Amino acid sequence: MNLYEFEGLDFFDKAGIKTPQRVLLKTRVDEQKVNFPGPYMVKAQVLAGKRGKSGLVLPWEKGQDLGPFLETGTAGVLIEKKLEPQKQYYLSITYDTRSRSPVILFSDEGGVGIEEAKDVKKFPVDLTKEFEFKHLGLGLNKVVSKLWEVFVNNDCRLAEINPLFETKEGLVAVDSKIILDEDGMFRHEDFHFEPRDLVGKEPSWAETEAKKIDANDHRGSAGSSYFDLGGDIAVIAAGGGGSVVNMDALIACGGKPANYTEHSGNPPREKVKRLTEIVLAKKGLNGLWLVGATANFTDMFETLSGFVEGLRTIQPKPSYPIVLRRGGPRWEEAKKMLEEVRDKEGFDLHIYGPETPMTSTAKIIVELSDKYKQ
Amino acid sequence: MAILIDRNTKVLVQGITGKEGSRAAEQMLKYGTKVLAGVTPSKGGQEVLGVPVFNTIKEALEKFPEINTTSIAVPGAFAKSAILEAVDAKVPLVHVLTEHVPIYDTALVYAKAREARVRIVGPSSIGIISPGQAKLGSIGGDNPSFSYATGNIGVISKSGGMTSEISFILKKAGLGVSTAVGIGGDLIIGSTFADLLLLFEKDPDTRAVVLFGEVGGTYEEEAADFIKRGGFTKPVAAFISGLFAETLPSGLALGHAGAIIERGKSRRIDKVKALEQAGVKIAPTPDDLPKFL
Repeated sequence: MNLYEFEGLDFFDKAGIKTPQRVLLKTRVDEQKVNFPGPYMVKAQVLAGKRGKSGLVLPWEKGQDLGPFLETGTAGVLIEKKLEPQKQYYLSITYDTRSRSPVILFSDEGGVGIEEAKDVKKFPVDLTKEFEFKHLGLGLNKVVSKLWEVFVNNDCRLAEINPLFETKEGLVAVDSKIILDEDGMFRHEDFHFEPRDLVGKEPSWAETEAKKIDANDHRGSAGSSYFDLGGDIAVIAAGGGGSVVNMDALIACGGKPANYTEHSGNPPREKVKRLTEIVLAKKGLNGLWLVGATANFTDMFETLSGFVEGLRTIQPKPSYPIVLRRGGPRWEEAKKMLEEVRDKEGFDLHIYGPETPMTSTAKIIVELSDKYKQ
Repeated sequence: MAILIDRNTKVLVQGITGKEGSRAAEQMLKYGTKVLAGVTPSKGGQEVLGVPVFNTIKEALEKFPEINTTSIAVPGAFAKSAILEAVDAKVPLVHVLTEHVPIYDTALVYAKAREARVRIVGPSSIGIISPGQAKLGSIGGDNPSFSYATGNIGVISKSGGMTSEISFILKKAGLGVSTAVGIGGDLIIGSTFADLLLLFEKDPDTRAVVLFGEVGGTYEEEAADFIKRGGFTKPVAAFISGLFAETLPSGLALGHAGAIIERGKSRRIDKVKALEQAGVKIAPTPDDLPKFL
């Protein structure tokens, strides 16, 4: 989970890293909460990067209209005391796959151009030893040690300060970028961050509904990674790795997915039924692609019966083409059942088994969908 | 021969009394793998599928000193202590089936394992199989023979499901597998493509290797460097997924550190280029892989 700047700055405060005076505003009228003297900066609280370049960080005076900012800032705006830096540093801690360890990154060219900075020092952290950092100046070393506490104690994947201002009053963290490790969150039941996606928008109806499928039932998984995309081909994919391979194939032949989702680990039929209902609730679909590798232990008859049960609930009845490619335990039974449904209930259902390469069915759904649109 | 596991592998299952652990143990036994003991703290004295359960690895090793491998299927919250117990006991091969291990815990146990010269495969590893000899974890499910034929192709994959799919594609093309390893798709993993290529290079029964890679991290690039330096001299074919993943806006929000660390690496195109320069054949779809072997 990505944290907003103001949430990250609170982490820094707790660890004893100096931050600017500031206040978070959610509405235009609560400007009187700004109870410290200026000059001020106003910073929209959005998760996207490059705020400076997008005009989302600007000088501000009391009385100046905050409207445009409040409309952009999904989590409000931060009014912050403007500081005069003598120097700007970049400091972060994250994981490096080369050393397979945490790594501390430091540059004295902090600020907006950091991605192009030539001189970024990297210090891998040896976790078999007690943490100790002495590579920079005394003040900086102290900030590094405090940021290390933030990083480890909160299970961060990234803890970044950019810029870290050197001022007359010492080193001040003027921005924060924190990414939490979802897998470590069982250690932090005290965290209560609002649910959000990567770019900070609120989840859609389908995204929320799909997440509920696994929440109350741990048999297999279905829908927990669902998200909406802009296209017109609904996708019900199987398997984490396999689903991504198939999405690649769909995009490579010009298909526009309406969503991404996957199910795996032999989910019971109710889960697949519900997932089908959610995926097909969308308006303006021109095709459905149910695709997966040849399963090792997922019961094809059960999951595909769930799919058919879900399909039957959709109103109006889907007339768009449906391409289905699967294989695995009880596939032959499942295939027979699907053929019956196709013949008796009049769905435009195209059935493929393990003899057909799964990625080759991407082209089939795209072509059928194009024809359907005409 | 094969790599990592074979007929002589003697397995301990940590978390054998849990749902995942007992399911994996049952499959391993059914495939003929020698599962000698299980460990679940405070459940010592029980039996699961006829396999004796101990409270600690130490107790299990006292009874079965021939154990040389452990397969761990405990919940993510307990993975760190389970792996550290195996590392402290110097079990040479530690397979971690557990998913959702906190990244800090993985980095910590990897550092300690490297110091103790213990090999970790995983976390989030579906398993390891040397067809006809032994398997660890839930790779291949109940019926591994459906996807895995014996043969001389090594398979290394970040995706569990695709490990079996690729092996099934090889089987349909009349090819078989020496050893297939699901290395897991986590950011930090105990054994990388390059780590295992080193073993496949030394294995006379492996004549070529297939890699399944995904966007993110630098393990595919590390493999390319390793091959370029002459560390692996047999043919390699690879499929790298990621066309779709790269259309998503996720990269926007990941801060600068990712961009600095992975500058010129980690995207699909970077991996494909690096591997091609090392002489690896890139298959446009997984079904094309056999053509390149």
